[in-house]
Amino acid sequence: MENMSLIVIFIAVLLFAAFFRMGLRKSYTGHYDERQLLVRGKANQYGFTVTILCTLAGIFLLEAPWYPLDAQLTMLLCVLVGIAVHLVYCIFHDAYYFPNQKPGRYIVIVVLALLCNLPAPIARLYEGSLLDGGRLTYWTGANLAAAVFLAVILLALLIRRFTGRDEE
Amino acid sequence: MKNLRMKAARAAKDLSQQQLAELCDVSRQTINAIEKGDYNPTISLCRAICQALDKTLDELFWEES
Repeated sequence: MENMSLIVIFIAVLLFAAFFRMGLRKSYTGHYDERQLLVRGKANQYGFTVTILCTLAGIFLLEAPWYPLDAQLTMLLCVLVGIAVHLVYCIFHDAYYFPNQKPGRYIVIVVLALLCNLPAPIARLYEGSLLDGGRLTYWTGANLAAAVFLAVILLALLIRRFTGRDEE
Repeated sequence: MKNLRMKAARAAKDLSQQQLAELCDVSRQTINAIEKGDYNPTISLCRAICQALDKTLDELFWEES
């Protein structure tokens, strides 16, 4: 039953993202310029490499008795770390937004997504049910992982926004 | 190496990096990177910049060895 609800949520999120993307396309026909495409290609390489390295490290760490995360959460973290590397590299090399795109709307979306992911881990922390059998599991820690991921992206976006003025 | 000729040509036309970027359909940071010598543009972008600044490729991008 849990798996079924997970699949339904996954499909719902995919559909939402597809409709959101279609809406964006209608309202803004943006594209990355040639330098941004090069940067994004490099970011993809770094992100992919980090994901692979994290996965390998995770496989070994899962065998350690002191390791505090379960396998599903570890794999989720590997993916999130890889994506974070990709995004942070793009953000700091000015290849995250399309040319002439206003960043305010995206920062608001990231803040909203971050706020959506905070209540569950905070409630579990107060209930004392954040750890399951001494381990942080996928079901108890996924929102926390997503919140940390979004906080990193938000921080990078804000730092770049306030330090990225390099015109002569 | 910094592209001072491009910077001078842009200043002569009284354009900001943002305005030139919009004329060439690229980001302001890309124009900034070209002027600072951090990025070598493709011939297609070089042509767009030359057209926007009313200069030839030689005038902006050719370097005597």
